[in-house]
Amino acid sequence: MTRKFWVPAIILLLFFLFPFLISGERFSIHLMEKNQAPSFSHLFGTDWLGRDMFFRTWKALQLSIGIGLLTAILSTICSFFMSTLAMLNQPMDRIISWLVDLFLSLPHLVTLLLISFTLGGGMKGVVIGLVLTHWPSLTRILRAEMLQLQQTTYVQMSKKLGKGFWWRAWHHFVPHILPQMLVGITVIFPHAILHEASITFLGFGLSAEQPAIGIILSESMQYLSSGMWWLAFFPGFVLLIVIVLFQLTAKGLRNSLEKDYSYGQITRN
Amino acid sequence: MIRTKNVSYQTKAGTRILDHTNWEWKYGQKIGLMGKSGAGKTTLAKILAGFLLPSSGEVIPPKERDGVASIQLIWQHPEQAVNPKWRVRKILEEAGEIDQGLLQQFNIPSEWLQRFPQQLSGGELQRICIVRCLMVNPSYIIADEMTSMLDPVSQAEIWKQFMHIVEANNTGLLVISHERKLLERITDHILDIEELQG
Repeated sequence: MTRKFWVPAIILLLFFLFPFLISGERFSIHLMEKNQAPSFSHLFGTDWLGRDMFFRTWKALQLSIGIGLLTAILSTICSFFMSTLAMLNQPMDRIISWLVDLFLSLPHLVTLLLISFTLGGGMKGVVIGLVLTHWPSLTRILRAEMLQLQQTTYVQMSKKLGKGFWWRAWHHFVPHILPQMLVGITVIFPHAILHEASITFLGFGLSAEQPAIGIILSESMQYLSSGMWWLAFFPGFVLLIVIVLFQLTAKGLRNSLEKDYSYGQITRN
Repeated sequence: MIRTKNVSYQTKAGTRILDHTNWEWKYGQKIGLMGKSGAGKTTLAKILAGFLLPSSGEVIPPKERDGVASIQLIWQHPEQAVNPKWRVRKILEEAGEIDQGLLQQFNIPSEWLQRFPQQLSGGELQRICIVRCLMVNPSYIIADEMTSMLDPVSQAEIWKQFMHIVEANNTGLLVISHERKLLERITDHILDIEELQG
């Protein structure tokens, strides 16, 4: 299963593309059919406004996957640049380490709220806020890796052979830290979705009419006590499936990157 | 010319390896360096090549050409001197366009170019490192136990080819080895590391 990373990747892509086929009509308000339990006409039931939860969940999933993936990739790139800059010289290393400590000393959510609020909320505020709060821990790991790499003979030799700093960063560092970066993306992805949900819940994130998994989950909180379990169960379950699929993809991708293809046979798994 | 001015080096444990060493290495001079294990031969090599900063004093190196150092070190452990994630082709290309003539002189089949370093033996990898060093055409080469991983027959073959190129280019050469016979044959002058201390 892990060898064929494209299998979960394709399922994930289908999850992402399928909602484009859903017209807005499908999950619009039908007050006649409100608060219905799951049935064949409404697979995931309907909410207190009679909106079909099946289609709403898929639409929300699309937005959440988009935000999660975008932020995970952007903040991993951000960590890579920050940790590479830290290798430039001693003062730069101090500055970056200080920044990492500064961001880690504040609770994620507080920084996230501040940044998102300053940028005026919405998609832009959420994405930038998430990127700026999720880079520090990965930067720390990458910096430690790179410090070790910089001491190796072959990197020092590369300098003597006349290769510049950015050349060395790209050709020597990237192949070594790519597995760590992929792990970073896998870890940040669910984090980003959940944080997006929590700031939306607090009212600083996306607007309420944009269906995102976080919004659906936080809205359903008020109705759970009245026995409408399907409002939270299905969206939550689908989110879980997406995260598992994403991790399978990343794991498979990592394995295939680490394989040794020099003779067409595999010497390292 | 490379000069060391009052160079001292002290290890973190406090052992003095070099003590106020003043030394000159003229262009084209071929020197052999001997000494007991742990006497500081490799440390001296690293300091001369700029891999290590001396505790005090300074090394005046030759001028660089386009950022490429004119003094190159052939490392004692070849497996540490190449990126394990790269194929041999890329390792050689780091020093510029691959010179097919050099590959033939050092008996490197082109099939090796697509291998990874761990698929070559230490001796084979050492030859790759020698070729990489010669490709940038340095004015000075420090060969730190360069053939210690090869059998005597291929050692002789490698040295023959190596000296052929070094003599044609009038390259300065510092050979670190435990074999006096070898040093007597290829160098003008044999130095004991203890002569440099003090």
